[in-house]
Amino acid sequence: MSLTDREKEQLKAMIDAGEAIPARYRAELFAEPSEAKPARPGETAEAADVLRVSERRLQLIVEAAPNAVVMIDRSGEIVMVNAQAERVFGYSRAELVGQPVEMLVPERFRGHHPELRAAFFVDPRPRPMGAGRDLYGLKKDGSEFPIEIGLNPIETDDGTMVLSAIVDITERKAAEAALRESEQRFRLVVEAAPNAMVMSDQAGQILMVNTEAERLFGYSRAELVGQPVEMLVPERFRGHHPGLRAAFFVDPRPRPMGAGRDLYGLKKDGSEFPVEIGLNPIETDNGTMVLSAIVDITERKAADQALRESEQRYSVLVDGVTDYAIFMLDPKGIITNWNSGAERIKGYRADEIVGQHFSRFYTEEDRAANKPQLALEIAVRDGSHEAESLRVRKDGSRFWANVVVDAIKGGDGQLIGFVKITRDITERIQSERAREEARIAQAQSQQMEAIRLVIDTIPALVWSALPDGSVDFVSHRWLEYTGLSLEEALGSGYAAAFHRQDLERWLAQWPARASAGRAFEDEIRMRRADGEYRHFLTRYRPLHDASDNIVKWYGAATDIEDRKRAEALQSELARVVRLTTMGEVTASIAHEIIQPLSAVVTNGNTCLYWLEDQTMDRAKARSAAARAVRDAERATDIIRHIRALMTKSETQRAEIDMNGLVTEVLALTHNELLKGEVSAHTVLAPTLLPIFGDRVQLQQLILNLIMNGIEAMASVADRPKELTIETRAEGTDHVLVLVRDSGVGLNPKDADQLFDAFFTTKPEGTGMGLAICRSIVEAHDGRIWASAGSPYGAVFQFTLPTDNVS
Amino acid sequence: MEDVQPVVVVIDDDPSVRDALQGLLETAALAVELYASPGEYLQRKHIEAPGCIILDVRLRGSSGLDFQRELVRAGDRTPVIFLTGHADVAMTVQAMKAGAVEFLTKPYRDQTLLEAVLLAIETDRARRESDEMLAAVRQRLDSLTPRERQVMALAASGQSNKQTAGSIGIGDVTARVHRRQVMRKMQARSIAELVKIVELLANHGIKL
Repeated sequence: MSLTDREKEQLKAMIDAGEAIPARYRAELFAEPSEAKPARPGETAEAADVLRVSERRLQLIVEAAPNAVVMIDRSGEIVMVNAQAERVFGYSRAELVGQPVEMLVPERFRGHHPELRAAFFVDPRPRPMGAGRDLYGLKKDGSEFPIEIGLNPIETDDGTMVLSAIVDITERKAAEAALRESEQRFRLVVEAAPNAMVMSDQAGQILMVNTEAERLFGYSRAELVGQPVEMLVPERFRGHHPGLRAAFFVDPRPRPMGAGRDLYGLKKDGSEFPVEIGLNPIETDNGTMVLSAIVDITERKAADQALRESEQRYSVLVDGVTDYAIFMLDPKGIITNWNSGAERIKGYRADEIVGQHFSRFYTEEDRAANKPQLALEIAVRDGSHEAESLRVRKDGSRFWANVVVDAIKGGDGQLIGFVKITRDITERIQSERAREEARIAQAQSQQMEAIRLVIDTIPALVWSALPDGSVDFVSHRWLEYTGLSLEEALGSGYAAAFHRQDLERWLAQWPARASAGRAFEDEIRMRRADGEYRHFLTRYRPLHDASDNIVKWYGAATDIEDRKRAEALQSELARVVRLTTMGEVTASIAHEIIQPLSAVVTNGNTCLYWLEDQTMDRAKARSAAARAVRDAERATDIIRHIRALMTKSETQRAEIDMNGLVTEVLALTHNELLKGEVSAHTVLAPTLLPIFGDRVQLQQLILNLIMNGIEAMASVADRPKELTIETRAEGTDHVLVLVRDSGVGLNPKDADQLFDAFFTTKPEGTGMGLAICRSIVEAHDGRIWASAGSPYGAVFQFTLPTDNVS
Repeated sequence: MEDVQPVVVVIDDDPSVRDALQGLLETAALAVELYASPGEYLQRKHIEAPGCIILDVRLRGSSGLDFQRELVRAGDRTPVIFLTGHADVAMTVQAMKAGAVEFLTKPYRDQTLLEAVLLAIETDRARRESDEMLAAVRQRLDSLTPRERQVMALAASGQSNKQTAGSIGIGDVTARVHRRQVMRKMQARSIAELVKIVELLANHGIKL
């Protein structure tokens, strides 16, 4: 490395020209003059070598230094700078040398600088300036820049100097800041991660954890950082962990930890929990680290467990179900799975049937109708299809089944298959049918019972007869009333319950009534079980078929005996009242007459006594006879008076149509006629002049004659009891009324007395009826008489003058 | 008493009947009083004579039965013979229960009426006599001292003087004196008569 002089000259010229020369040449170029400087006394040869560097040599060294170098003396005056310093600070060498070094220190630090500088000289040894503080240099343009300064004491002839090597660390600072920022961001990301994150280095030492990891493991950050990551691994896995960790770093790439094994974390409280861990290698300045993302899967595990259990249960359930056949079909209907219920219900074992088409469970008819396919299609379309129909077992027997087919589709809507659930509902169907039949039967029987009840409740005897009149049904009441058995009553047996006379009439009238085919009523006496005949109002009604033919007659007979009796009783009552009234009148008349008559008798007897007595008291006898005469005359007067009363009784006369009157009174006596079993007829003149009379009296007249006729026939048994009332015009000025009966008739010798008062041929007669009749007729200027009938009975007749005469 | 002339009362509103009955009754020599109504009869002066009443049931104004009840209430026990135009069983029973002696229906036989009247008079006479006797006996009884009544009762029951004395704790002599007094006061001539008197009293519910 020695330079020729020529080279040295050339180099000096370059320097002088201000051109840069290679550093190695610089040292060579400036080395020679420093060698000439003598070492100071007392210094070792070595130290003298360092310290006694010639200024020139120092110059060269400084100049060659890669950093900016500024040398100051004890007073802080810049003694020397190199080209780097010139460049860094922006000052020329000339501007710096001789100036206080504080010109390079930012204003804000400048105050402290002389002190620090003085402190250095108290103990001058090489060291970095600032002791960790950030140092800044001040450029000529006033800008600051971060620097590092190394201080070196230099002994020179001029005393101890400080050689400051200044490094512009602007770029390094920027790089450091960028790194810090990146690390910060990384930490923030980790912190913000929803999972627990643990970063560890290759040695397994935890470098960083996030809050979630603190929470998850129960440790604080301070307790974790710096500890081996195995503290988070359960004891039983801890031994393997370092090996596994090392394996990861052999091939560091992001992957899940554990490769399918169950992993567990260990909490501070000693409890374990299932985890999933994702591993990520992180390249750092300190080498490759691993960032572990830890997820607590306790809940997922539990859910998984539940799901597994549920699946297990389902499987147990399905297979355990014996009441239902549960099996699965593939999309084409091939059986893929078979439970024990299916085996029980259908009779196939799983190994016999799996792989077969399910249509074999259908009846032949259903298969022919393509029902299996239709069921699947409906299930696909609607998701489910339910049917109740007949199915076939392995042994060919049939049973009623409730079948539900559910289509199973995958997430993508693709048909996976079907689940079929079949239930044997034969028993249910049968019991339903039985119940329905029973219900219908019960309803029918209830209806029948209700009808029977109704029939038996109505107070009537009910029966039905075929068109020929033969009876085919009689009600319970009918049987009860007649005392006949059902067998006795059916057909023509019912006749036994009819009164002989009524039956004859009934049978005689039947053909006409049957052919008329209309409802009709009749009154029939029916014999009660105890032999009593009672009157029934019988209503008969035909039932026609569609073609209007009579298919049946329905009859209902109502017992009207009581009603008839009540009516009869009423009329009897009326009669009694009438008779009583008449009896009252009669009694009072009788009393009136008996008084004088009995006096007559007594006086007669008294008279006789005196005549027969020995004393022959003639005066007393005469007196008695006179009294008798007097009393007899009185009796006559009384009778005359009564007759006068009768004829002079207040009357209201009006025009009266005798035909109408007869009809009217006959209607009034209807009940008496029925009671007396008398048939009444009228033969009325077509035209009749009215008579002028008292309606009430004339009613009484006809009433009396009718009653008289009825009573006259009371004992008649060997011939019809007939009463005929006839009206005729008698001449031009009278009306004749005849009342004929078929009764006991008249004794010719009584004919004259018939109309006398108190004359009677009847045991309970008052002898007033006909007397009153005569009174009335005579009061109307008429005539009344009686004669024997032919061949029997009697004829009472009266004439009354017509209106024009009056 | 037998001297008293019986009286027949006729109550009838019909004068013919009254006259005829009077004539008839006179043939039997009976005294007759005629009244047209029960009211007239009840207002008359009371006559103490045996007799009977002939009554027409159907009197105007009041019925014979009502009158009969009135008589009973008034203490008049004269027998009543009913005459009626129309009699029914109920009316007859009612009348007989109330004390009628006969119930005759018009027209009656005169002889029957007379017999009924005579029977009624006899009955009334007997009753009256019995009533009078009872009254007399009661009067005599009232004159006895309590001790004498005791003695009379014991004597009538057949006890001797000695027994009587023992029964009521008196001396024999005293008992004899009492009995004599009783016999005198009661006008009994023998013990038998005294027994009859005591029976009569007992029959009419009179205690000694």
